[in-house]
Amino acid sequence: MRAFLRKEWMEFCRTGRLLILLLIFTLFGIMNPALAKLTPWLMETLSESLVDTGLVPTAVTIDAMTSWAQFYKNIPVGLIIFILISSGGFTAEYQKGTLIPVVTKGLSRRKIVLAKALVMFATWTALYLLCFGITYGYNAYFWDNGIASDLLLAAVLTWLFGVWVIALLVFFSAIAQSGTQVLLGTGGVVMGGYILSMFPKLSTFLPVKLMDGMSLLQGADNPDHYSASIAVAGLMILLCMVLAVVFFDRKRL
Amino acid sequence: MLRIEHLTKHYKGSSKGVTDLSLHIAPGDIYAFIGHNGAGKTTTLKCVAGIQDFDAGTIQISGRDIRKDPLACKRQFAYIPDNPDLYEYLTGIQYLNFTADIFGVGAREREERIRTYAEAFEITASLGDLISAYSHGMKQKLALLSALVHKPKLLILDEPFVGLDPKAAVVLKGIMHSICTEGGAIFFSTHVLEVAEKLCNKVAIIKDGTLVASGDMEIIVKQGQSLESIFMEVVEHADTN
Repeated sequence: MRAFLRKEWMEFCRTGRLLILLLIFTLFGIMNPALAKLTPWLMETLSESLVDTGLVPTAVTIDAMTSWAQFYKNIPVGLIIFILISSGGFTAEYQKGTLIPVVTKGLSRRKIVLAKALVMFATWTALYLLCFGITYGYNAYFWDNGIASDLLLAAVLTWLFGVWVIALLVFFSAIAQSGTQVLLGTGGVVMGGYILSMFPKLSTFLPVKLMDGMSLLQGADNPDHYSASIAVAGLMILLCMVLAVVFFDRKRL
Repeated sequence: MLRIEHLTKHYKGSSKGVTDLSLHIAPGDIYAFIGHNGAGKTTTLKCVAGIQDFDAGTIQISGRDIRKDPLACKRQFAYIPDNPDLYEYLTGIQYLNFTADIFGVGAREREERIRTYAEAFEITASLGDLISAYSHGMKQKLALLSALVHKPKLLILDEPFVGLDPKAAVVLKGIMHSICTEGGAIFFSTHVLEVAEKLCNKVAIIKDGTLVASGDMEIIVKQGQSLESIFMEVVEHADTN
């Protein structure tokens, strides 16, 4: 498995995917506090045109919360880019036939699935930490992170949402033949989750609730309210991985 | 070494496949598997290699069932598909080390084998280059090297001579002979009947998924005839039946 992990890592680096993702997540990490810092200046610049349209600009208070709000707007975009870039991880190998020599060399199929999933989970974690770390550092320098309550828990929940989406990606990669099918499947389930979350009774149990980190930061929600969605996400991640192994074992390469 | 009993494999929505195919490949055999395009050669080889599941029958390698004990079986053989699809962002040597790592080949053994076979196939100088820069023939040579790095007892090759230059083809034939001399076996598909006739001691002819002839080359190719004429005769005879 170590050999395949090394190969996956080399592929990630040499195909330029890692570099692109590093740039994007670093940029987002910087953009969150930068946009917050620039907001007063932007408001001032736009004030005249705002007055012309009948809007009355008022004084804006900028603090760490403004930057964290930006973080929670940007991180879903980062996750979408991550998923788009990673969606061909399995299917490109099916199409090129590169897994055939590996499978016939006696590497068990489950190790292939696990190695690919592990690289995706690890990369997501590292990129997320990078983006979070940059934002946290700048926020601490400019303002005070203490204004945000349950900062770490909110961050972990958003990270877990990413892991859940990646687990879906791995599952659909094991059953689909093309990157488009993988994206449709993964996107479909996530969209379905958002549609179901419109029903208040269901929303507490859905993994999409994990993306509601801002409510925690603002103290508008209680951490206990996330227990069910954490449990459901955890179970679904486990289920996706088990099913991915089962389907990949039977897949015609 | 390899025992295929009543192998049946059909694809959904397709008339292609293999029906009730039985073959026995003993240590020391160089077994040619010939037939027209779509006859079922690649399907059979893929079933033997454990890439494809099959509908009925059994495949045993050194007494182990490919379905029940696939990993143990795969440690016994090496399979080279008809198209060498390798990881293009790796260098040749990285790919060989990747393969050797999967098989758990020790450092000294792998170094010695890689050096020996790379020199024989004349690709030593290119091993540091990215595979994406390799020609089809060089990829084929690298795929062969990766198959030989763990010293398999059984080589399963799908059209191994396609894309190889004449010298590499001669080298490959020599390697095939030496594997068999050491008690191994070779099972390969080919369209080059002259090569099959000169190289192999056994042959199997498949038509439309059914085995129409198999056995010792000397018995099948009667005196004064060629494998080519026998192949045409057998296939036409199968048509009339």
